[in-house]
Amino acid sequence: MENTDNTLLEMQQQMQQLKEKLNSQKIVNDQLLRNSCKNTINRLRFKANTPYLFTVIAVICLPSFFKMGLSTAFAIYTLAMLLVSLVATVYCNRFLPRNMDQDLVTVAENLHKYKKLDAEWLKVAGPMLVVWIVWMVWEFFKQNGGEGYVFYILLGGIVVGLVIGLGIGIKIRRDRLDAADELLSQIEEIKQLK
Amino acid sequence: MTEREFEKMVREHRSTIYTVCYMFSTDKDEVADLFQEILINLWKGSGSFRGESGLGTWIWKVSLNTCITYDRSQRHRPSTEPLSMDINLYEDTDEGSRQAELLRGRIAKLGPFDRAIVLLWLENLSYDEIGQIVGISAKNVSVRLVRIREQLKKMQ
Repeated sequence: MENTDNTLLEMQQQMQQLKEKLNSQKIVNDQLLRNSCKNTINRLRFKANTPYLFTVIAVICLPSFFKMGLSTAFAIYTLAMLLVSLVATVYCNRFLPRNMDQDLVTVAENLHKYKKLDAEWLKVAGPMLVVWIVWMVWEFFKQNGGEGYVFYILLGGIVVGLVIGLGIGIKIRRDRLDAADELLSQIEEIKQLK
Repeated sequence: MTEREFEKMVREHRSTIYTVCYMFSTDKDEVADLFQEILINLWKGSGSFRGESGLGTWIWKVSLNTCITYDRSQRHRPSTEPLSMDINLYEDTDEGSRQAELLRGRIAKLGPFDRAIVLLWLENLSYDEIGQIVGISAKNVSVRLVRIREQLKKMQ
């Protein structure tokens, strides 16, 4: 036990040293801190309006599908996909902690639920997006009969984008779930004490 | 809370916020990312802060919650202007920084909740206050601290 007490005593002294060091230094320049606070506030105000902005953009863009000669079925599928995405996002966000001033266990549990749901949603959203992309390629193919180098450049771009996007998406999903599982095991351990 | 009041609050408590960021990070960029993320959550929560738990406790809660639940996969968001810090405990070579690194190294070996508990304990908060922040009873805080001590002993 003596070793442990020594460790804790040492940690207390190290904490004290850290405090003294932080108190003697600026940490962040006042002007930078002020700018960061302002940026934070502005970013949050913008972020709050982003879903509405995207919905408006989607509604505006949809008529141009018809002008480009894309089929009605494809336009309907696009609209349905956007709507489903919007509903799923709103539903998942219900579990996202609105503020971080609840206790750690409650916040971590809510976040865990959110991350699980978000990961589940990706299982639906991924195939839905693949169908949309394949369909889009087919629509363009129908238009020019797959002739001309522009079509192949477009096709190549889509395939590369799809592969990179899927790779990144899978990695993010796995990282998120790993982090959520680590939190969950700690919550379970802490709850056993209750 | 007005923007000016918010700035003042952050200025006054920046060493607490920095300490939490440092203890939950792996490099100086992550410290800056976490610091900004905490600012976001403090601002979001400032409207509903009623002062029941005291400003210091509230800042600890928000800071710890942010660091524990921070999504590392979203680091360096392009929309975020990086915040450069005047202090870099990872690279500074003075004795204070060296000791801080040793402390961080020890704490980093613990799980996120234990890290939070030990940090609050090192901050000399009472078991009641620690329990309130973590969401467990004061008695369980003491049980948990005994286990943390044992864990630290095994790390020797």
